[in-house]
Amino acid sequence: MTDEHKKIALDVIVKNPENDMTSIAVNEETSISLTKEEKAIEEKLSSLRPMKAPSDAGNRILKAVFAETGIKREPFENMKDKNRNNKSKIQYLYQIITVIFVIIGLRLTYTLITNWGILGDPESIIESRMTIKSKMDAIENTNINDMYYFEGNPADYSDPVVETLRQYAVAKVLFDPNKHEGLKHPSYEHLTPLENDNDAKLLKERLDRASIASLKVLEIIRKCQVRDWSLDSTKLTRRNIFSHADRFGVSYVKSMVFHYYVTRYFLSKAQLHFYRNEANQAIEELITVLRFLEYIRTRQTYTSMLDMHNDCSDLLKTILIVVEKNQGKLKYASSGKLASLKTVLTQADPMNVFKRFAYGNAAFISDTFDSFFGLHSMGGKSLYVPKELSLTADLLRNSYTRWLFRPLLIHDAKKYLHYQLTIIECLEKSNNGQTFDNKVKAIEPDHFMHWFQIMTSAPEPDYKKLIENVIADEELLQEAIKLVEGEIKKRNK
Amino acid sequence: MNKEQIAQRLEETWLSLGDGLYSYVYSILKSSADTEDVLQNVFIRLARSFENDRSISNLRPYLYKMARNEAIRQMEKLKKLPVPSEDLDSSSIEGSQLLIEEERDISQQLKSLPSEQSDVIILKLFHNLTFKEVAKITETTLKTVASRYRYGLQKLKGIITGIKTKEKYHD
Repeated sequence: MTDEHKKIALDVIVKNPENDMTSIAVNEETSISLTKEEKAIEEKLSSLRPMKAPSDAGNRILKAVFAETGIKREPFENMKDKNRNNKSKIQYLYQIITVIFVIIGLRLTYTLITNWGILGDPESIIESRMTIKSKMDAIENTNINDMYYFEGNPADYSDPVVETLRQYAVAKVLFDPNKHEGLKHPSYEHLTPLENDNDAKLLKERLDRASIASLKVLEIIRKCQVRDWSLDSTKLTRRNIFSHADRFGVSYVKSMVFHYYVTRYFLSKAQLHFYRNEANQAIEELITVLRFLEYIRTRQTYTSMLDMHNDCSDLLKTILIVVEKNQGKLKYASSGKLASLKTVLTQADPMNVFKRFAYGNAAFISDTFDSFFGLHSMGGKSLYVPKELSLTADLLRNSYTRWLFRPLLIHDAKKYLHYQLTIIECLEKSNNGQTFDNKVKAIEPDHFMHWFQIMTSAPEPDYKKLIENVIADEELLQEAIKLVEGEIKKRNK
Repeated sequence: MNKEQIAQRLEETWLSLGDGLYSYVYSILKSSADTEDVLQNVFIRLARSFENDRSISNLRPYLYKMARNEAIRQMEKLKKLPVPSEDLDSSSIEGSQLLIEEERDISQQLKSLPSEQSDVIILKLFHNLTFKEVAKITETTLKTVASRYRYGLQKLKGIITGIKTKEKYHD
């Protein structure tokens, strides 16, 4: 209440004694009524502040109380300490926050200077980065034997750049051992089991030499003035690879990092994990590559479907080779990790990628089908996928016999039949020569018309085999054969 | 409860209720030394309660009641009858020096009321206690407290109106 209000309240008491009553409830049953003047007096009294105790009274009183009750300390002693502590904690926190901001500021300044330059023109910088590819090609073609005797500083081994490049060099040796003349018989299979000391020694020797080689690679990169690239790309981890792609542009990362870094760095890490019987970690590295593949694909950086297919197929092929070569090590992996790998492999399968784009574009599919089959029948084997994953049967059944029928049928029925038979062949081989027993349970009416069209143009042994392999139901099978035979007879007439 | 916890509770209690208790006891005893003696006893008894882990459901009315009883006991001990205090805020620098004239008048008139009525008004209005709590402290019924409050305000109104009328008449 202000002084003015207080004055008005007193004036009201004097001048208007007949004002309204105010009721104050005491409890549920009792209440008292006050006139406006009484209420004003009440308010007036309420506004008066009760006196305060002298500032030292509390201390005196509690000191006596503490002495009487055997408390051996001064009153409010801890509270003072507490306040002091709180204050010092706040100051400490303030100092920490200041330091953090200073560090962030310095880091940003450093990034601006090194990444973009003070007068950096983004276009020209990107362009200069794109030339890195040609420089990396030069590195790729460098004879690795030249690098072996480079005397590097061992302290540099702790440098993350050096470490990454060491991995890079390891990958180079492992993936392309024939370039390494220092090893008499550098076959990959020979290294894998590590059954005796000689193998272990051999591997160690390779890794040591690769470490030295990595320093040489680093030197070459420095000479090529691509330090900025090496810094950025070698800091790639499973965690930041995607943000890195966002930062530098997917196209750039795809062309540079994807081919030169991801496929080699992560795959080489996977290889090393397999060597150490760390199958779970190896699978994690493989999954990273596969997810990155999917990431790049979904960013629609490919202008050509064929390019996309080739990249997908190449990478998948490489991954499957790694998996196949280490299938003995897969027994160390957890079932969860195996399931994850299976899932991402299915997602990365070129057929699944096609599914999203190729419907209605049968010509494109037929052009690229052969390369896919090439993948699945390389080296005289029908499939690369180890049995532990039991992957290919699922892939083939889902991708080929379900989805890809229609566009291909419309476009080229004969080619379709050829593929269909190849699929069956693959399935049989993957099933140890046994007939694949997960046959089609029923023929969809719409689907059947396409089948029918194919059957009638196929030579007799093929269509019978085909029908028998895909139709499980006996009645349905007989019906389909009759229909096809009837159609063939009609045509022959 | 250990000694340290008791000490901490006592300190917290003083910080939250010390001023109110002091002014209330002072309003009865009109002596700083006596007030401190009384509050010392009150806090020693409170410390004993904490030591015995006695649960106190509502600390504020409990302490006011204890302080009031101690103050009355002290008064009897000193054979000192309550006399109208010179000023409610006499020991408060902020109080006596900054009170405007009307405030001084009304607080002066409060002292002229019977002690039962002024006691209720002081507890209710200066210390923000409920009627129920005041009844508990003064050990009377709720109805008695309410009527003392009502009569007290009525009397104050009468006194103030009389003064004003007299002033007007003189003018």
